[in-house]
Amino acid sequence: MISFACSEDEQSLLDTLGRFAQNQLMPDARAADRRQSVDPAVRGAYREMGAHLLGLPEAAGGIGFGLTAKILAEEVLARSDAAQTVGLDDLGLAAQAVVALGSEAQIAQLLGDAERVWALASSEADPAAHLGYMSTVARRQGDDYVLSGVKTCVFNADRADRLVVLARAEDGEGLAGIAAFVVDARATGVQVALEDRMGLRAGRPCRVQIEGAPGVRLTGAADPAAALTRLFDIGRVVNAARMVGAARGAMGFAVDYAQDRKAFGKPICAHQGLAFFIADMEVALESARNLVLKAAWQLERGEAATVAACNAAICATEAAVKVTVDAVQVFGGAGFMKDMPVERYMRDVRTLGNALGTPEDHVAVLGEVLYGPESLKSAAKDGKKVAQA
Amino acid sequence: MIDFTLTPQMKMARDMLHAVMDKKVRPLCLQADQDAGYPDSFYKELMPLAQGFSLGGGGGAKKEGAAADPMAGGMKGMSLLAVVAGEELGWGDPSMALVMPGPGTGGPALAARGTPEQKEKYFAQLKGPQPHWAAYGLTEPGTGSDAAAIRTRCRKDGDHYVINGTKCYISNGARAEWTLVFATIDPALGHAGHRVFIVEKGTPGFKVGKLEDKLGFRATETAELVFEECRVPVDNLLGGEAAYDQGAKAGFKTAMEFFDTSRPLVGIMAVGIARAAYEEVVQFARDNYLLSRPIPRYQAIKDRLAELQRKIDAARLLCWKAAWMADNGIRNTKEASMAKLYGPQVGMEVTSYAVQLMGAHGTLKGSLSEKLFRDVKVFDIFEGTHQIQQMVVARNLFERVQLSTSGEVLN
Repeated sequence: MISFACSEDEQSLLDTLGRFAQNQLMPDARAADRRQSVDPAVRGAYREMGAHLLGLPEAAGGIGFGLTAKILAEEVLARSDAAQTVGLDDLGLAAQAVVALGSEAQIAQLLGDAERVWALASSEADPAAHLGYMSTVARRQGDDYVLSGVKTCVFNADRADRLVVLARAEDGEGLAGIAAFVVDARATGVQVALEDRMGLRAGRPCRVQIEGAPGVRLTGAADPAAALTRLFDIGRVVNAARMVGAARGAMGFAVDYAQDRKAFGKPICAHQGLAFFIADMEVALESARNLVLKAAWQLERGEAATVAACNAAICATEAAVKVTVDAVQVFGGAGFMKDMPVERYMRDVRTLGNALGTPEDHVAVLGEVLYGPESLKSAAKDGKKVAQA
Repeated sequence: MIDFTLTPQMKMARDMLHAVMDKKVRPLCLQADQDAGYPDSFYKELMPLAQGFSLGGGGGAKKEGAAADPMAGGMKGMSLLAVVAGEELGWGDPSMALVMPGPGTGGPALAARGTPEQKEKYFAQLKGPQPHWAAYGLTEPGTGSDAAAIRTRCRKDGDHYVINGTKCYISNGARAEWTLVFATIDPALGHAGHRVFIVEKGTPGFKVGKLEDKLGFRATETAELVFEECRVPVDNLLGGEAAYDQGAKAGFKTAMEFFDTSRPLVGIMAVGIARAAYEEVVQFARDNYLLSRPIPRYQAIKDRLAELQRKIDAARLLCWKAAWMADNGIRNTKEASMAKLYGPQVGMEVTSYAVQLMGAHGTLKGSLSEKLFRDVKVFDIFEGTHQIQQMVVARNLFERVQLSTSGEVLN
């Protein structure tokens, strides 16, 4: 039965997190941006709620809330501040990588200590790299692997105890041959440096240089390419939810300001040019949010969700960039100043949109899934009809 | 819990409608577009389906065992069902929205505002095995979205009202058994001066003017209605005279609330059109580009197709959400307008691209895409233009500043 509302348990969790975000993240957002860190007291309050355990299965230390709850939680938090939301995500996608790719023993052993901080090192420092071409390599030495390569945009890496590093382990096309390795973040051969980025500064984006550090290969997935795909899909949707949340936050400020600020004798929202401008922001944002909900639902059910996840990620990037840029525009000159929160949302969203693949990357994936050679086979099987929904 | 699973009832309604569209409507629709109508025998064939269908009454299919009379639009809480089924109408032939025999857009207003006697008499006229239609006459030359500005006059004369004026763009206006006609006792009164009459076919002083020749949506009948000293019994005043004592604003509100369920339906039909065009263009690309053309060109096409399928799904979900809110008693004025705004926008984009990719083939009559491109434009216009929807969305976003339709600050 179609429903756009979450369960009562999820809703009360989101209400709690919404209050936390309003009361703790929002007041410190500008300072956290400048400091490039989340306040320890705020982090303590977040962990006390168990929020860092959302989205993990119970075998991996989860507390009974699935991916939908995790995704919606990220949205609610990012309404106040996407950067602190990323900075608070101490288990994050790295833990999801262990769940997707690890064996049962590895999951229990690695995630047994939830006090640890994890970071996922996925993006390559080499700008020519993409998922099919990774310059980070893992060489076999006896029973172990030794990794070399340079990763970038690794959030929380300098605080992390453990890194999950994606690297090419064997020759192969595309995702085949790419594997995930758990690396001790403080091992000799691992150098971590904080990056100076436009946005998500409190998320502590880092450059990670690995030279001959040992890694434990995650070996639980029967079909590693499918497991990696699921990991990327989760990442796409989590990130999309953050973008939608941040854009909603900026939208709230813009709608408020448009009613207060007067020009030519009336509130600027009473000028139709501006009213329509804001209406279009709302349509873009709601469209993106619905796609995020649909993708979250598919992920939660364990279905193949690549099309929905890419749709959500692309739509969220486009909508959130538009909405946050336009929110700055609504504020006029004031929007350009750091006294107002809208410029922060704009920087954070632009950074999020590039963090786990750009829309161009997602479109390339979509093109293959929807229209590539494999799709031709299934289209021939079904006749040419494309089913609704 | 977040869920996008269709109920068995929804799946059944969708599949049933899809089969009818695929087997009966699609084979005829290009000819109906040329002829500006389907053959009479086709309407008779549609009757079993039409009995379960009523536009805007919240019903897209018959509710099993329900006491609700679908003709009377008494299907509250079934917006989602209507929206899921309605996509198939758009997919088959958008004209289906209006050529389907029944009360059409006149149904919900009669159901909401008619006296029991009026409802019984006028819904009964449309039943039986023969196809019958009714119509809704509001628009005039010079007044579309600004409905308060109508100039068709009515004056009371004994136990009759006398109507003078002209209505235009009235769907099914020529063949309607009865038409709900909006007139005013005094244009200076705005909505408060409005009176609505049930005018029967053949009433002296009422004649059908020209039938419009249209860009698309051509299988539907669009008529001009002319009233010259047309005398209508007082009994035909919709809702009876007492209904207007407190001013017709209540009636206006009813009309506006009707939009909360009708706009998602208009949106989803445009989504159905978009889906039809998308299927055409994907097939065309597969047949003509993949194997025979250089890959770079095909890559650009894949990217664009992926964008279109994403927008189709986004538009669909906006319609679903607005309908889901209506079914759950959540105020959805803003969401209904967003669905109505975005569905046709995507419909225009997809149908236009379908025509474009097919190059010289795309603009030939006889190509489905060519017809869909012409058909979808009206969805951007009726039930409130794109710009009207932007106004509604904006007004519902600004909670502290109340805006009039023309943008004046009311508080």
